[in-house]
Amino acid sequence: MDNSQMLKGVLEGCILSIIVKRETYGYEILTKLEEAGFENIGEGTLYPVLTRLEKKGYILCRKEKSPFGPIRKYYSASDDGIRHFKLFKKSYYEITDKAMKILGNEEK
Amino acid sequence: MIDSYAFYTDKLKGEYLETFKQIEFYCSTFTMDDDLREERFNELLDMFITAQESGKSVKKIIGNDIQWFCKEFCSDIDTKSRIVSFFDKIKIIAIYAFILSSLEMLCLIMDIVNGAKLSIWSSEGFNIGGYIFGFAAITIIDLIFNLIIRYIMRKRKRIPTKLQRRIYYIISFFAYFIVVFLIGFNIFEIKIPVLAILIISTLYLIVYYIFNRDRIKKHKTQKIHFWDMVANEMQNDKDKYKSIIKQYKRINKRRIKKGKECMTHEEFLNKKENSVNATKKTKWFFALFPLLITAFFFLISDFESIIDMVIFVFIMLGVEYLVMYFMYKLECAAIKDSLKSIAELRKNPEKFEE
Repeated sequence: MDNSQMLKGVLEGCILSIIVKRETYGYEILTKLEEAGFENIGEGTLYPVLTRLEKKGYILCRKEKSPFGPIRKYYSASDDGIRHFKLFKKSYYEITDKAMKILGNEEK
Repeated sequence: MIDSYAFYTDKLKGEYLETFKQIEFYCSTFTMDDDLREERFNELLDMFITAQESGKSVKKIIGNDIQWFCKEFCSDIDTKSRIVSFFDKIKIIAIYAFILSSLEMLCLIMDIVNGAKLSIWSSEGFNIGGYIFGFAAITIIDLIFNLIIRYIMRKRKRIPTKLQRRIYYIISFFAYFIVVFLIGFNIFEIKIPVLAILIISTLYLIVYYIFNRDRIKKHKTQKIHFWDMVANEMQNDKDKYKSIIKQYKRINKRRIKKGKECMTHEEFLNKKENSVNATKKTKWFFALFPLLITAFFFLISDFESIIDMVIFVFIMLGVEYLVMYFMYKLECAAIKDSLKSIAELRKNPEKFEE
């Protein structure tokens, strides 16, 4: 089954969750997603989400030279971003609770 | 010159390097401004290098389908970026037009002063119009090539291999060469007054500067000086420690042959650091050597007049000090590189055992 639509819905929230916890950068975000079981979330999917969050003002970005030479972008959550994340979490739990009531009653 | 991501791509190896080059090629067929390109590729390159150092496969970063990744990577290039890129390209043409028309204008003024019956609105002389046409045509050819390449990549569902990319670069180079130099210069004679080209290009550059003040200021903060770039290039070499380590092993081999005790890492590094610091005193050599050479040639030469003598000394010293300055700066970069390698070996002495 193609999970891409479902994934798109939660990925933004998951990435925001990682950034809200502490300032981080692209590779670290990818690693944390991989540890959580999200496979094949490449830069190509991560980058548009980060760009979208930045445009909406939910995350702030500062640039610094990485230890390897290229300029690295460090992301941190803005106040709007923290508020949006709290709303996302609330909606997510509400939807999954309702979905579980239906799906939980279905035969596996 | 700005501190571009391109200076660090040689830190990638194997599949990471090939994948990065493929992504770069794919993205080069899309119009995006230099700032956006730098931002994206800096982030991607940093991610690639970090993952490479952690021993991960490149597929963990980009997924299994590189073409899908490239499409996503370039998916949100906005119209503003394309417009900025277009005006950046025109700026390059305007700079060439400004330089050529300024030189041509100087020649025209000198001809008029010398009595030639020419107007300042003359369009005689160098075929600047044809040359500018050539550069403008490059922009259009570039766009057409990009559309063709994107169509081919979509149809074949593959990004070109290293060999195919090289062939493409060779073909596009010859196409640009033919358009600019052969057609632009020889076939098209576009009679535009030199003064008109000078005025238009100057106005364009002024307007461009006014609208891009902030970008230009930002670029100044990202500037990398040529000599820092040279030092950086030397430091990028993965074998930078090997020559120092080889020297250490060679010295100890000789000491063992002579029945002496081996030098410890610390002793060797101290000695090496002292000898590198001693070379800093050679700046006096760079200052005195041109004087000595000039004095030698001055003594063996025969001058017809004092003016000849003065011109000779002036030119000799000018050229020699230019060469000496260049060599001195290279030496400073080499010293900086050696001291950094020594400091790195002090922090990681296990590299001696590699």
